[in-house]
Amino acid sequence: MSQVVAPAGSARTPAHPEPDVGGLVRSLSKRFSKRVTGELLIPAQQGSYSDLPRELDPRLHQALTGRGISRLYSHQAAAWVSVRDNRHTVVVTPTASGKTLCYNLPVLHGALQNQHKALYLFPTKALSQDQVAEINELNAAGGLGVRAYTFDGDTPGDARKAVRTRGDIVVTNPDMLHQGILPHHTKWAQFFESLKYIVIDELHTYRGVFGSHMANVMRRLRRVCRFYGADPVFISCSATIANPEELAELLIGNTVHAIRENGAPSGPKTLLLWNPPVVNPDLDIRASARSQSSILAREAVKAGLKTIVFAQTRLMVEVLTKYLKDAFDRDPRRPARVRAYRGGYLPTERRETEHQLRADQVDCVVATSALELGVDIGSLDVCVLNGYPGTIAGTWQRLGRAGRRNRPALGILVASSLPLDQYIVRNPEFFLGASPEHARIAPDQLLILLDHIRCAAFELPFSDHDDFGSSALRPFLEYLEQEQVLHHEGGRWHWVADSYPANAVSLRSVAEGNFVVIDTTGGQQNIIAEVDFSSAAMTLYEGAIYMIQARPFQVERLDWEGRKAFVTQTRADYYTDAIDYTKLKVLSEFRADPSGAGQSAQGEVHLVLRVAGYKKIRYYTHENVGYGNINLPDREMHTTAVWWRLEPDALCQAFESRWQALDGFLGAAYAMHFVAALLTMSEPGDLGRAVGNSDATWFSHVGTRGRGSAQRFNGDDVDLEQPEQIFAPTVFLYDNYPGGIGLSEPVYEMRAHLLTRAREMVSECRCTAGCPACIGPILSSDEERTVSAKTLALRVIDLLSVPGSACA
Amino acid sequence: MSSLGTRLRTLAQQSGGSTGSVSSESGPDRDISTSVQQRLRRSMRTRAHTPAVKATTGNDALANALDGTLVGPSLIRLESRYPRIRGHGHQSLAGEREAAAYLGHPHASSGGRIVFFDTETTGLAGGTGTVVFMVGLAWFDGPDLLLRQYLMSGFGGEPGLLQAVTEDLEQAELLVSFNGKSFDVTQLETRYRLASLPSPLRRPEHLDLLFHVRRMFARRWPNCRLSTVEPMLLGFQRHNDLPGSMAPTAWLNWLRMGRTDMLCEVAEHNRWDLVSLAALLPAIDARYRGTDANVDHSRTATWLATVHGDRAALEYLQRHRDNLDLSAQLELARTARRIGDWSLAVDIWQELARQGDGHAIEQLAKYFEHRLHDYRTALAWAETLLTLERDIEAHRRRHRRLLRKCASCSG
Repeated sequence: MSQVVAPAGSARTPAHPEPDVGGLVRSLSKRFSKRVTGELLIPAQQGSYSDLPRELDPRLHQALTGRGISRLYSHQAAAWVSVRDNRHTVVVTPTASGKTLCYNLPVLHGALQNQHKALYLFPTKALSQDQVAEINELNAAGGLGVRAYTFDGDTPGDARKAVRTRGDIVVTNPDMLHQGILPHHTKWAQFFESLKYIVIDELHTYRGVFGSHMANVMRRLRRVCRFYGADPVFISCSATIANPEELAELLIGNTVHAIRENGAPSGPKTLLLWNPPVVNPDLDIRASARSQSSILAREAVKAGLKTIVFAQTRLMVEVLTKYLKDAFDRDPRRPARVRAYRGGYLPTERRETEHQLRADQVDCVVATSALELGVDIGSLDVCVLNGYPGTIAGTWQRLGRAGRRNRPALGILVASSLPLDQYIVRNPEFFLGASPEHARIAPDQLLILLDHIRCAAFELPFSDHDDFGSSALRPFLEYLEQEQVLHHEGGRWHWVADSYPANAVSLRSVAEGNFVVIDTTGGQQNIIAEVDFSSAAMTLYEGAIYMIQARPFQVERLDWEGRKAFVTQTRADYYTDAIDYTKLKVLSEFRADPSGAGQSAQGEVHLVLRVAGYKKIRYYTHENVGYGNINLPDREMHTTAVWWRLEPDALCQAFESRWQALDGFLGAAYAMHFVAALLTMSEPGDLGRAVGNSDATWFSHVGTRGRGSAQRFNGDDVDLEQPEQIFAPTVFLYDNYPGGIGLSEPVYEMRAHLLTRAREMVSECRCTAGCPACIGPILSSDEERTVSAKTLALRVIDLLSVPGSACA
Repeated sequence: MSSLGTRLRTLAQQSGGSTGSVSSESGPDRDISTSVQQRLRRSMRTRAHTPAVKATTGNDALANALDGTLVGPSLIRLESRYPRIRGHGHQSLAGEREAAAYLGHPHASSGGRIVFFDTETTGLAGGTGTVVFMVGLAWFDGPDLLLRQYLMSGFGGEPGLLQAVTEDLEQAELLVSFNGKSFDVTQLETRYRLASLPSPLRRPEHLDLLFHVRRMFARRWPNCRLSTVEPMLLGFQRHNDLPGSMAPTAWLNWLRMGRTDMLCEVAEHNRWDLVSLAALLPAIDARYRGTDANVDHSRTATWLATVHGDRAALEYLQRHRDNLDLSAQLELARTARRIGDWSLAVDIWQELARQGDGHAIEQLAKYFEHRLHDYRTALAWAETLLTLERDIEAHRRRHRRLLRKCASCSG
């Protein structure tokens, strides 16, 4: 993250005339007043300053003044004091508030005065490289001679020893710490012996599965530190979330002092909440967010404003890039004004885009959350969010991309038709006041804990008196002994297996192995992208159109085992979207409770995901122009889920036909899924949704054939009206992680509230028969049915809420 | 086992899992009682293992079975002697000092102890979780090779083992290993570090024979494993040898079930490794100095030139003159050129040029242009080269330059 500290009392004057953000806001508000559902003004904030600490090493003092920093923001000074007093510290301030200095100052001081070493952890490699570059600038400014190195998968073998033995500051990522450093800690003995500071930046990114893994990696790190007699101080930085202290304490397993007062000045900021216009009033169907984002980005670029567009998916990045390139990059002889930036591009390509952004050579960048983090890309004026990112914190962080360096800025949140988006843009007050979001982690999740106990046992033998996290350790050790991994002798548990457990544990996803995308156009073989395992099935099936910088490639062949996709350039006028199926089987019920005329339960389920086919969708018109089949291995997992079903009698009484009941369940599930995501402050992708028979004979989805088709897992249709067919439709909301990551418990606890809120969401929606903002998209033919899908969904929710309500 | 299940179930309740209120409603698999352990197994897709049988055999019995001595808690020392005169395969056990000196360790000739060194571990994965359960050391002592092996019969023996190895290495001048630089030493140093003891492996020089074998034979043999090297270089074939990859199992079988048989085989295997090391040292030395036709001559000559100078490389290549492949012939020409023997170099290049070798033709073009200033001959070679490799810009440039030079000479 780049350090921006204005010299005392003087605001930095921009090199070029101030871009007219205000003009654009006025023009948009005037022309599209109906689309703007909220306008928030965040006034400019004055800076609050402190002197440089008196005890600061004079060389460091000189280096800072040499870079124009003669005093600190108040939060930087507070962090200095807190760390000096050996307190674990978390600094909670927004983007571009100079948080880097909060940790660089004590770390550099410690390195200069006491030869203290520091370990920096960033969630991505790109951030690590930025960080080292920044420390080295400070180094150069003061001739400090502090050695900062990155250590990651790109560090050449012959340089590794130098990093281990000579680095004062080692910058790495959690994955490398987990797989490359801790299992080889003896090689790092010198480093650990002098380790005084551990810096965790972007703390809020460590939530959910990743965070739960991270907490365990930190347990292992502290264990190794104890072995070498080190007791380092943790310094962490977080974006604004509701519970940074709690998160930090869970992650580092210790009490933490939080610093929340931001002393950095900031320019005025406008946030527009934008709801696309209604194009079909009967169905309450709105224009797509995509089209609106594209229009807004065009307006901003035409007004001479540097613009960033955030999209939720890689696919959407490519589609939007294409639209904007069609508008601004028609002349191939001129340098591109629009660039895409997302995960999956090769590092060199990403570095190039970052450089072009800093050098003001690009007018517009379309990005996924890969740019949400603190990669330094210089200042931008306008930030367009294509769809609500799922969390308020994520929204603010992305919006923070605009208006760095004290300039006025504009953020526009364009709502999609998803329920969460619609809810958010209709409730602007959500963006005022304190952040409502709690980052949740479950460090003691059974499988994650077991994985890390395994890794920890490899690193140092456990003794009978040791603990690891809050769970009792011994049963795990005994389990591992039975698995012939550990051997218990003399009160210690020794690793005896011929394996390297960290390699089998990925911190970020379940399955191993990225796919590489190989361009075979013209007989050559060039690697053009990487795709992580979890999204490969959805994006690299044979026939898929895979896009890079809006250039379409068609997947010719997928080598699943070899993790390779062979593509060729194509001129297709369509893109492809995968269709997936889910099958769930209840393995055991942990607890259950009556729910209206039915029952709600939480327990363990077995889940199979199949990517069955894909749709071809034409650009601009978005019509379906074809289908294709996909033959890929299923993805399986055991996880926890909450489910709801109705007593057969209640079903019979309430619905004329089983088809109607099924439609009701599908609509209700849609609404309940989004409400559950909102209530648990998780992203919708963390929770999965399925509707199927309780005995798993069939599952239902809103597919290509309209509403409510029921199919066996092999794709055969099921005739539900056959009387011998068992009919027990069930709504499942499952934890989308093997073993569960602790989401199904809060969902179960909130089950009553969840139904109430889902009912509100559906009944208060202005559509007549159902729409993507309440029960999911419906076909126009559904309009003519006697009972609307919306009514049926409400009926299901009511039946689940109040016994006998449907008969009343 | 039942207490484990109970504990894990308690654990699940603490983390918000099952409280046991299972509804009576029928459903699939409802009768399965789900202990967390079962959940673990299901999620990990493993079956329950049979519980470990506790070791019933004592350390004394193991020491007996191995014909060794219990020298500390859970530490067994095995000692045996292997007469020099027995030789190994068709290789004699002699000349180790001269050999070590020739292979780059001149101090070894002056009398310090040369220690052959090989370990057995619980795995090849590396990292802190790999245990070195046996260390084999050997050095010449009078008429014999003295073989000394330390075996941990349990984890309690590790500090003693490390200490004993430290003492035995006090007089070592040179360690000789096969792949020891990247594996055995690294692993053993990790153990010293974990035991908070200083490593005795840093001080002596270290000669890893694998590097030499790779240099000479990597392009000749399917692999450079010791089991490949022994028949090829020593004429030695093991019979009923326990493969090294079984060593982890052998130790675990002892640890868990008190089985001694496989450990005896591991000790035997380790002893043969040590004897082979002692024989390999002179065997490799002989390849540098001798006439083995199977050696990769060009890479061997390159090493000789670096360590022993161009003359040594030239002598080596001359000795193998009738057996040199293309790259070795070019190496010979290059070496000859470096020491100023141009006529030898030109002879080789011309011979190769007749066979159409582009590199040799290019050398000739250079030689005639820059050394003899015979531009016409050089031009002829440059033209030949162009017909062979049309698209190389350097060739075209040379051709144009020589055309100019010829024109200005005759004009």
